[in-house]
Amino acid sequence: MGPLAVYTIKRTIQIIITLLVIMTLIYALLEALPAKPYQLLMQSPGMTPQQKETMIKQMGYDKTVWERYWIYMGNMLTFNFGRSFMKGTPVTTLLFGGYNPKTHNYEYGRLWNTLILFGLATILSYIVGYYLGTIIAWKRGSIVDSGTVVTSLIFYNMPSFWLGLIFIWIFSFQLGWFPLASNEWMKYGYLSIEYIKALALPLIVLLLISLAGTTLLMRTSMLDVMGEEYIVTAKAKGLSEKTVLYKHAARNALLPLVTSFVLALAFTVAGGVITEEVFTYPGMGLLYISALMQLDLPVVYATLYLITLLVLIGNFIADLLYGVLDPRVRIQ
Amino acid sequence: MSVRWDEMKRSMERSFKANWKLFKQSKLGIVGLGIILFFLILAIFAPIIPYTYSTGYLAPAGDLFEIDNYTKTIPTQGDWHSPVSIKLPISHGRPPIAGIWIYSSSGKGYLYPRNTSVQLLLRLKDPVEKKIPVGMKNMVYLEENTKVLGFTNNSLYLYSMVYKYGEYLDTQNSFKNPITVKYNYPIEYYSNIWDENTTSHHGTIAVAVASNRNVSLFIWSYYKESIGGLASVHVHHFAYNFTVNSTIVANPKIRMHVAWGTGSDEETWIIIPTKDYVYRYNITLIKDNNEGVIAGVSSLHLAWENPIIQVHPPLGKNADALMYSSSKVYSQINGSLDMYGVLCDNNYAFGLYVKNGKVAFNKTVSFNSGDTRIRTVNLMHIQTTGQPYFIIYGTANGGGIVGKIAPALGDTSALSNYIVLRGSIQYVSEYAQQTSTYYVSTKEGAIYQINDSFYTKFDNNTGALNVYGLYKSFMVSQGIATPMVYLGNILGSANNGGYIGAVTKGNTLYFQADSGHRIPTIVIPPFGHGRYSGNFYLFGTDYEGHDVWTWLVYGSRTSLIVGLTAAFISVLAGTFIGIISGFYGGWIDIIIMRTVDIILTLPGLVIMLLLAAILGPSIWNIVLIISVLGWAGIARVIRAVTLSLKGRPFMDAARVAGASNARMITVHIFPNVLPLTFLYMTFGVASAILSEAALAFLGLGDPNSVSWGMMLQFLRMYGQVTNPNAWGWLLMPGIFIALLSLAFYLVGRAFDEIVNPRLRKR
Repeated sequence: MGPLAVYTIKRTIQIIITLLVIMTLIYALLEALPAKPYQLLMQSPGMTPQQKETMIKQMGYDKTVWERYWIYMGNMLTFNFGRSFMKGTPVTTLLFGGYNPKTHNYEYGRLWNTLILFGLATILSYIVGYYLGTIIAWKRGSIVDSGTVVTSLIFYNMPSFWLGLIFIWIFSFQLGWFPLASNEWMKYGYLSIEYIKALALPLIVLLLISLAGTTLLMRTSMLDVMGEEYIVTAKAKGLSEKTVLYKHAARNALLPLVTSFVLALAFTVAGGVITEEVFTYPGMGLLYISALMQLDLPVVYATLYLITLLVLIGNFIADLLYGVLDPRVRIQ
Repeated sequence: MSVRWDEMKRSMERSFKANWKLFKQSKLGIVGLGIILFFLILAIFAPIIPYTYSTGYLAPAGDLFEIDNYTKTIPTQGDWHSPVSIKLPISHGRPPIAGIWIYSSSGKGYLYPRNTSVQLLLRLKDPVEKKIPVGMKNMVYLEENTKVLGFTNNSLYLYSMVYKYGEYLDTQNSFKNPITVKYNYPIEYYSNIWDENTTSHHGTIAVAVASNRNVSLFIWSYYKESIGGLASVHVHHFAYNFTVNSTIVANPKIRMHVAWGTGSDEETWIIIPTKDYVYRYNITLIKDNNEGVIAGVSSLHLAWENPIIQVHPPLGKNADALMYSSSKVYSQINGSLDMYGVLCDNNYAFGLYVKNGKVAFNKTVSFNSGDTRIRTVNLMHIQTTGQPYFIIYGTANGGGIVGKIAPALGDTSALSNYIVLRGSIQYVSEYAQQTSTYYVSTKEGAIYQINDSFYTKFDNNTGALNVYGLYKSFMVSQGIATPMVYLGNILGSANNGGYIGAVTKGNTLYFQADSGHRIPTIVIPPFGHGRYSGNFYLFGTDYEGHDVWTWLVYGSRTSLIVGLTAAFISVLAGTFIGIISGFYGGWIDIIIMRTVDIILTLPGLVIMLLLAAILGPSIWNIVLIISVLGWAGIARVIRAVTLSLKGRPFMDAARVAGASNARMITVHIFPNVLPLTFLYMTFGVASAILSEAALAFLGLGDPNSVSWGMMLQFLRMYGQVTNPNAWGWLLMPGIFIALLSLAFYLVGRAFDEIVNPRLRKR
């Protein structure tokens, strides 16, 4: 076996153990919640004791903590997420989309909604950040550089929900260009002007916030590279500025950006709680927060599980990619 | 030892001076330091900064609208009850309110006659002191029969009010020689008071008191006849006692109709809510037709057989009941009887509707409003309205809730019309008909005036809860000690003249015109920037009238405390754990590093929300949550630095010299990682400030503190984002969060250049 294969196996085992630990941790945390989901539903005084008993049974609370733990682990690992306590629809339908016989509607998968918004925002912010970072590093010390850096720093430290509120105020309310809540498009589907309109504001806010990070990262990385001797050599050879900048400097400076990009992609699934909440965008974050408030545990478990899984896999890919891209850190 | 301390001190001074020199070169770092200093000054001197109010400050009534309010000092201190307005019997163009009566449990009362020379306003003359029995409560003025009824623990007192033509209220002869009835048990429940003056000849007062299984009916009646200028007056009163089969748990309700003359079409009943059933007894009265008075009770007849109205689940101890007869009762005395009512207990209301003597439906009202603020509703009281609905009020999620239910309209399935108010509701005044409003007073002393068509609507588009029908809210400057009650119309004109009143904590009587929407220029919060009747609001106020600038100033405390402590704890823990991990290696290292991996894998905000939901909202829990998730990244870096330090020659030298592990860590490793630790701390503060704001914005902040994130949460929750008056409320908290976070970040960057000299020369 080659070293890469050994490394892959080692990491896979590590990932599985980490996943199991995190799942257990999540289970323990949700068990520690001060209220049980059936207590919330049983507040309705019209319920007969028999109905209450049936409900407790349906939710599995007639079993012991350990029995429920094993059932939970089994269900998660086999992707059997069950039904939402509050909505009654299968969690898989909520997450991945599908026909909902209860409302006679096609549900758009929350996972895909989130992936479209945050995936797009991440990709765009890295592309723009790459060029912006390169340019301002090249012109370091100029007004453009310091201006961009200060602007980036301000956006970097800005609460995204606040920026969202401001944008809603200006562009949705005052100018009326975009809808006030980004969930109206559901009637029309992804391929509609309504969806693009709904996507625009959250996308811009996310872009502005994350662009600050990527630009600064690229700038720092570029400055590192530009101090290297081979850049001086390239310049001395008489190569054009553009060639030096994009062929010699930027390519080498790209490395930290790429690894952070893979990680960021993995975290996109989780990152959106607050942005989705502000714009009422029907993604994983909004699903998670409303499920948590209503103690809709199957939904909470499934979202947390999916997020963890994707982050772990993303981590792994980032590590592998790092080795492939940078010969200096090839795995021995 | 002292030599070493001096040496350390000197070396620290030297390094501080050198570092400060380097720090000074970073302009942005200086700017950051300046901003931090600004917020530190705000936080420390918050209470003494010129123009800040206290955190609980609400824009006073005078700022909201032009009102007529009036206070009158009470001569002595006492635990006063709400004022009672004494009205003239029949007004022939005379102002209807003759005076104000206040009384205390300790046996003292004051009768304030109205100063009628002031035509359009409520002004009072000096009071006349009256002696009443100790422990008096629940005093009510009975307008139809011009009497005052009151109760002590086990007795009933009926006082006569005397009016003099020209002077209106005879303060000397009123409140003299009451009719007294003593019960042989302590009174626990009181019925409504039936106060009727059917013709100019007949008058009736009926009331029932109850405790355990005992019910006592008290009836007072009179007949006045004048033949040829000779008046003959007959008065009779009696008490009638009986018991019911189950424990009484709520106030009984009485209705009475005595038909004088024809003798057939009359109807008197009492409804008694008990633990298991609601009983209704029809009462047959003995009439003395010669004297023209009610002489006694001949029989009781159980009109509602068991188990027609079975209460499920059983009523608790604090239940209150209210039965209300529709106006049909008066016109169709022998025919159908339509009646609807509400029983209410701690967590639910039980509506019922009786048609033709049969129960048409009895349902329980649930509170699934879709409003996330309402998680639990504790009903305290129901209020009759004269409208076909009942006002219920209680607490919801720490705030107050006022709602409407209308069993007659079949509306018992959900509490659709409700309004959530800040503070714990103490009392909802009776319906002020002229302005179509209710006055809600809270224990904190805030008064809300709400339109009778209030409702809350959840906006699917913005996610905002829009509250409709809240006219205004204000605080009485000294705070009120008693519930704010509606005193009725004073001027007797159709357009205005109503007053509300209470006793303040400063031992004065407080009255305020029930101006409602009559005044066209009411300013409803949020206010924009400006000066309102003497008070200045730099950035305006929030929805309830809190000054935004004041909240911003106090919010800096929360941000700084959470930011600094969370960063300090996580950096301290991260450094310590990182050094241990790197220094000892082996199994300790593996376990720590796997834990670090796991924590770094967890999606930050998602887990923070979960932890906040488990631990509950408080500042220190938020600090804990941020620290628990924050130490891992630092530990990883410190471990790497420790590993590289371990390989340095000076460590070998120390080991050869026989230094212990503890000494090597404290003397050789720790001072070397300290600059890095400090660096991470500044970055940590920045991110902790943002995390705290995010948690507060999502509704998981400490409700007892003022924070910038929470200001924005309230802004969104009350649907005020698009209100042009709320610009300060929208803009400033975000700017402050960004500024403070940025400041720490900038200081961190400047410090980074000192710690990592590689960054400097560029």
